[in-house]
Amino acid sequence: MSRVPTPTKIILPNGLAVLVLRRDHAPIVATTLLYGAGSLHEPDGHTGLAHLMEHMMFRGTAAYPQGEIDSLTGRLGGVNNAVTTTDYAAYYFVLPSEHWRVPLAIEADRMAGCPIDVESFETERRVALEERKMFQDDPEAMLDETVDRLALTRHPYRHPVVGLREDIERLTFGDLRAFYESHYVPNNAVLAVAGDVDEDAVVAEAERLFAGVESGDLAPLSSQVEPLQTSPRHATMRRGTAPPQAVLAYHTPSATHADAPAVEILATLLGVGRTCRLYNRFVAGDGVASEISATRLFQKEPGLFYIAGTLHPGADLERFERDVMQVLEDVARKPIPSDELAKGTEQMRTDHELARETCLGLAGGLAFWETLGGWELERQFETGLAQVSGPDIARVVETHFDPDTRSVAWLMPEDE
Amino acid sequence: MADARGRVERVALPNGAVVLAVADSTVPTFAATLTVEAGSRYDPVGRSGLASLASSLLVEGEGAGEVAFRFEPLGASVDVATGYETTTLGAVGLGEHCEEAVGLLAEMIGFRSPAASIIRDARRRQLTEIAEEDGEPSFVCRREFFRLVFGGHPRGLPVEGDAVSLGRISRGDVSEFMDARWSPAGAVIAVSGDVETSRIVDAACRAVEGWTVSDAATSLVTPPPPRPFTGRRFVEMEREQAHVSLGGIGIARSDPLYHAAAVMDVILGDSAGFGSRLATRVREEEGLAYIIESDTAGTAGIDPGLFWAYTATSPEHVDRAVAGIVDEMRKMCSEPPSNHELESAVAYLSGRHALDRETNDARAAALVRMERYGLGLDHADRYASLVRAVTREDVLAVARRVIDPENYSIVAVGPAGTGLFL
Repeated sequence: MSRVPTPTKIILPNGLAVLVLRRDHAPIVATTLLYGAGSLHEPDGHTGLAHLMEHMMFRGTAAYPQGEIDSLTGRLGGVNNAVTTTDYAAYYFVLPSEHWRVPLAIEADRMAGCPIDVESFETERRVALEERKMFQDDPEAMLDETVDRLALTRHPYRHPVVGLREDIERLTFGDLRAFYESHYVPNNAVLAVAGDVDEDAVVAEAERLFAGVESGDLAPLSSQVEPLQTSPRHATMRRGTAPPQAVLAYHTPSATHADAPAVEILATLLGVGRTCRLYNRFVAGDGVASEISATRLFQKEPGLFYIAGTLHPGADLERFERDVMQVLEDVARKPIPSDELAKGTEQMRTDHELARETCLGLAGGLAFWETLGGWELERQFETGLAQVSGPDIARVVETHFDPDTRSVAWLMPEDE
Repeated sequence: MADARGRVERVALPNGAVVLAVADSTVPTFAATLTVEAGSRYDPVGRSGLASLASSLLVEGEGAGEVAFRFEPLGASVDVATGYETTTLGAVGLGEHCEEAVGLLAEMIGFRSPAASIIRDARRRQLTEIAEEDGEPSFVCRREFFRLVFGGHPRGLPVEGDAVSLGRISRGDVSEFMDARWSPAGAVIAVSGDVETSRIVDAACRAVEGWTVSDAATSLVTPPPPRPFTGRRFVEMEREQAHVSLGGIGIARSDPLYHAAAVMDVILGDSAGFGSRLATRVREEEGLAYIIESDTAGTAGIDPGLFWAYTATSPEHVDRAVAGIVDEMRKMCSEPPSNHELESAVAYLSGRHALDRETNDARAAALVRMERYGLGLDHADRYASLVRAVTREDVLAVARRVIDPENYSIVAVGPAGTGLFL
């Protein structure tokens, strides 16, 4: 039984969805304002635009000059930040709850107008280029980018959110302005507030602050369906003297697909804890790997499921790849013991409860699921997790983990 | 049904272990930790990495590792972390399983006499992790900076050890370390969550009351206080960015200027967002770096930690970034911060203190710190007044204690030709 709490929800006439949840365990409030403005929404050849826009949102507004958003947050004893993903840009504050009006005022102000100037744009572009270089220096991040580009030939999820260096260098002030005007509008946003607040008062304040922000014409999202992959793809990266690593990627459905709960439980049985199948097979005892993981991203559109391992020096990557496929085949062919399934379900239930320990976890969850179609989807998803059966998991592996649809990237030391 | 968030219960056992628990029924979860004074601070000379290797046996292989498996059918998880001072076993899960989890933690710490094969496998994993970290310039920069500032003192050696030191460690070394350091003397069991505290305290006391202090524990010596070294070091790594750490030895947690150091950190390089002096100058105004920060309080412990500033930037910007950092260090030492800066930093720290204890995990960790550093069970209530008592002159005093803009240690890791080191 899912314990996702029920928020108060209204949709303002301009399209902004507002969700408020009272949680009075501590005098804390968290706000999340989430825009459908991720890398998925970037025009071709403009990678990094959504991420750069996120940086610019901290450059100040008429009411909050440069530096004031951070400075005010600090003076009030809180924190703020933002994150850009493939699907959205999310801006958040966590503050002592007596200051709950402040983040709403800041968010309304920068939604109504973010006066981007050329000088700030150039400074922030330099910062974004440094961030891109940081990624380029991280072998694991580059391995992930490699496997994304290998598996996805058309869909925008193939691009790194931080952007490619050559694209960031080419972005113009006009690109940024146009992206802001077409995506940072109330009808493309969700505001979620969770904490020690009065729900009615928050709704009233949101109406007062945001009602005057005009809705916008949303840029249509070009529908880009990834062609069906019919044969395995491989790429090898060579870098330094680090131990070998491998990432296998499989195409999996979106977060709202009927198979999503079974895929999630599969990821748990494969990769969570020290009794999971991959750890047992590859890390425990004298296994070939020092670390292994199975990860599915919650995404709006069909994306990838990753199995990643760091192997001991000298390990045979080809054999590792074959053995991973054998583990998957075993899941599909042999009945899953009931205690193993029960363990995975319980681990997921615990995970979801832990995520709700913080007000930010609550607000973030509400905003995220609302953008996918409604906060209730999280409740449906958790109910679905509890209902996943062994045959469901076997069918999901049969359907989405065909060995011919895998993409594999290897990271090897330069001297091998 | 458990209590609402309540007061801390504390029981000190005759064997030296202390049990702390606090209830919070906001969500049906718990966090439980068992901490022993078994960090790399106690690694014997030439055996760095021993504390870390020994602790990894708590969750891997036969013995304790098999006990660790028993958390998973409960939906709970357990992990182990070793730092400079301590080794901590930590579990999280649903409150209904807390009592069982505390019993399992106690069972795990009672593990001794590991088989040679388990040690061999654990050593192999640790070596691979070290090899992986060797490819990460930010990690190498931090490691080399500690080495440079603390010389051969255990504070300057990597917790995970290195290939040579790990190669020297025998099965006997591991067993002796477990006997001596996995001791109830100074151990802290801390629980926060959807639990009945009296019941969980009773359960924890029962679980560890038979744990005795071995003879080996009484013969241990602790290392002398570290003494600072100053120098500069360049490590060549072909990368897009150069990583730079600079600074020197800091203060201990018990130092009367500890809270002043925390205030200074916020003003200089560790504020909300990018509002610190360093971030404003190096990132917001000059656009030289994505990461720019400094810290003093974060590494303060039983022994003095570091004052250090860190950034990663393109090699051609290193000179400018370092000049900016040193200039801000100089200003920090030349005059007290403004009233506005002081008030903002104090407000930030006071508010942040409450935010940082929102999860059971964080509250359990805070209980351990209160106990180990003698802060008192009412520390959370007193924290705001402690930071409010910091004056502008205190901030200047601590800046002058830990920052020397004319004589600092510096480590850079980056491609050949990184400006400063030509």
